Amino acid sequence: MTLTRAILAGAAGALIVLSCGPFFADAVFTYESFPQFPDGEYVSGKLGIVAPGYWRKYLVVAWRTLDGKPLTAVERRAFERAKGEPAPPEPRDPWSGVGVEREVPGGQYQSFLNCPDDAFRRAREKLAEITKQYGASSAAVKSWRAAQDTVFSNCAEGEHIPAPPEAGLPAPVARERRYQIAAANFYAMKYEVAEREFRALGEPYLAVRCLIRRGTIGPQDNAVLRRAETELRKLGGQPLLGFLASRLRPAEYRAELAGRLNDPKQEEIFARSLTDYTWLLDRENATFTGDEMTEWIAAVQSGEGDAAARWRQSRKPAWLVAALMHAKPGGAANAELLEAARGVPSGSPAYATTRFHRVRLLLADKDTATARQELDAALALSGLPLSAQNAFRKQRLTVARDYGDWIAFAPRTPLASTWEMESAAEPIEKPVPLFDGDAAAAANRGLPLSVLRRAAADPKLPANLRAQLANAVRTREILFSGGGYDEIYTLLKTPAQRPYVIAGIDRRPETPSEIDEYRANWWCAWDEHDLIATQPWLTAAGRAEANKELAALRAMPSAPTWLARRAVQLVAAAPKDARNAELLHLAVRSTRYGCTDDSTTAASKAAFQTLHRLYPNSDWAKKTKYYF
Amino acid sequence: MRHWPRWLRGTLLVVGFILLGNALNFVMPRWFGPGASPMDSQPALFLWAWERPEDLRFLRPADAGIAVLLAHLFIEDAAPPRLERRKQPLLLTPKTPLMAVVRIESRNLDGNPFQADQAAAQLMRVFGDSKLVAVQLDFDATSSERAFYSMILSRLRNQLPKRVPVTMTALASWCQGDRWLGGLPVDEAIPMMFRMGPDKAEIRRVLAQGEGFAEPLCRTTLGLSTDEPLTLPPHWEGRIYLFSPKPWTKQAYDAALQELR
Repeated sequence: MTLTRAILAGAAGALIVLSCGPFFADAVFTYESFPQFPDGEYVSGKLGIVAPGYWRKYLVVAWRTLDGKPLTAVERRAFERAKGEPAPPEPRDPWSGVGVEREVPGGQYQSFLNCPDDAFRRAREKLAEITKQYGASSAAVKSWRAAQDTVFSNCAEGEHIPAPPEAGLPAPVARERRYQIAAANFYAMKYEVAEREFRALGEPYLAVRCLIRRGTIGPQDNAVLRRAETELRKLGGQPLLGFLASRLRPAEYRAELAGRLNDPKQEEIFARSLTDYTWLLDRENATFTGDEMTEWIAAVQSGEGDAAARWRQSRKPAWLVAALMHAKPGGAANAELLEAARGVPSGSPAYATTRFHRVRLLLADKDTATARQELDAALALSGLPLSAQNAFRKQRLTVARDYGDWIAFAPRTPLASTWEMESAAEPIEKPVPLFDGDAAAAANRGLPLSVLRRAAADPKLPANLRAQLANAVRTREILFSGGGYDEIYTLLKTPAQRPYVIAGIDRRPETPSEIDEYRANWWCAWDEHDLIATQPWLTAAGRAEANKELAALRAMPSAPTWLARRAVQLVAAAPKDARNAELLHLAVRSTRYGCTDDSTTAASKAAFQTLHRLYPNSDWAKKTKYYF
Repeated sequence: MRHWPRWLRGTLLVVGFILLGNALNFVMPRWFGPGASPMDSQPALFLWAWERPEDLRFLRPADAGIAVLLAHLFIEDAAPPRLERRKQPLLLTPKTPLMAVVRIESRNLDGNPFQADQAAAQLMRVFGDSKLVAVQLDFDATSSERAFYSMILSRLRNQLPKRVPVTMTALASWCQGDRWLGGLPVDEAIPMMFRMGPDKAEIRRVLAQGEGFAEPLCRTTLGLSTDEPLTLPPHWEGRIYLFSPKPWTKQAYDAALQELR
């Protein structure tokens, strides 16, 4: 019977809407979407390296800061409030079984939140009030409750309207029935009826709510929304006016909001202005012209427009930042941009960003000496945000002069860990330095064993990184020597062992002997897309040594294939070893849970057959029912 | 054998048929793939319409079907599962084949049968629409959640009309080494061939060599994304599900078709 082959599995998630998993904890060294958090320092003006991918609310902060108008204390607090983390749904007792979403008519497969949390909260408060006044078992409470149940039965579907108040009900409860009838019509989407009823009750604000629903659920009805706007203006100072302006005149309102966001005298409405402003920019048909801040945000995010020209005209640091961010190597304006960036003082909020891109362009021009000098100066500054330090260290590693530089700049302290998207990252309480991708690539595909051995024993490296290197060194030594019996036996019992270091967080189980259920066990064959990462600072002899070793590693199969073959060889060479049956069982196990290649099945089969041929009655043979 | 007692011959015949039936049951899906499925009459191409405004009126009903994310189902701790419906419009040409997709998000779910009942009941609020050609679940179930997922699928299958196919998205690993889908009451499992990690080379190698996934439920479909190479295995005749990271446009659709050809 042919058995199923076990093949390396796992689809690691990434930063995507579809959210495919599984996801593994990953270290974050720099952020692309927002500054490191807590973001208090950033919001206070310590910008670090601003990235083009930052969410727009952070670019608003960057603009204000770069333009010489950092956020006031009131605005900083408002910024916190505007973060808009969705609150968890409130309990809806005693209406917890009610659906709250209703389908938008028109067959567009769209629903809307018909009955929000505050509707249930107010109903609960009213019920408590009436119960206190008349008693829980009173006819008044029962009647009110039955009517309210009918009101909420419209939340998901239907048109259920409470009956008029029965004779004998206390007057307040009877009056309350009129509200309930109007509310039922509202939730049943009979907005014109509800509007009339609320007006008759002397509730113009609620009547306007009916107009707004009528104008926004389904195709937008501007005439109705303009009526709502006119009436709201008479009622005075309603937040809903912003809601209406954003729908009726999005571009003009956006420009108005940009003005408010740049006027410290309007700090009291900063939170609402920021929320509405970013919402408008996120709309599909948003326009990005009409005010300087929005044009700057567009330039930063897209690289379009002539930021260099804007800088020449205004000499504003913000435009220098935008121009440098998107300057390409060899660009016509680079000389003057580089010179301007060189003159940005270290105390300027633009310093880190301009310095980062200046170095980027210097490196592209192969001016490594100047780049190195400026990076060393930047890294010597105190108070640089950790994310900026990591970004500079990454640049500095590319111009490492020698082993000492590599050891100094390879380790980086992560900011946070995340299981899926960057936005879900959580700060690490006591972070330990780790290797980022570039440092790990150098270690794994660029350095000879002699250098790795030296680094594994170097006290200048943190203990955890030395341990990883020692693991890699030990495994490579076994691979190059072929490994004796004890070594192969131990290796098969230690799925965490591998000939390379990990970039970021090692997601393996803490116990080295534990099998990882997502198959991060032992190692895979060299991926043909992984190039040798030659380290220029190595001597010629060092590079030759590295190339020779790496060529040997590249030619090797995946761990299970190699281990299974070695196991069969070792058993043939030591037929009386009491561990042979177990060794062969472990070899077959590795082909199930480890990375495989074209030859794994044959190797697995050979180990399987050897086990059953030589030790058919052993417990290990009984445990090994299949090969893979 | 002619001289054997009749009762013995009869018994052996029955046993023989039983053994042959089991053998065929085991062998046929592995050799020939799963049998006829209600999905056989569905389009060879489905576009995923995710939670954003989508105008797919450029599609004619004969071109492709639409697998639209109609809701999220949140299952946390032992709380009753909470359904949140789609809030963004989807415009499509009438009679376009429509498959409803619900994505399940879980956090520390309890996973008891009662919670599975509740989850299935919530799903039926979305899947109970008679206009749907099929339904789909999208759930990145961890190992400890698989039994619960199986319970939900069983309940769903029992409550849906037989003519309505049940499909599910699948991690590539579920289709190869980490197989657990066998026996699930679904008509197809769509391996998600994008946003794969370092193992993608191995999985793509397997498909490029025409070997097909080991799991029969995964053999007839592929899930691809327009921002990654739209590479098909040789002689591919199965169904394709396409994801676009941005709202669909006719240009994006035409470009994807061109690349698939």
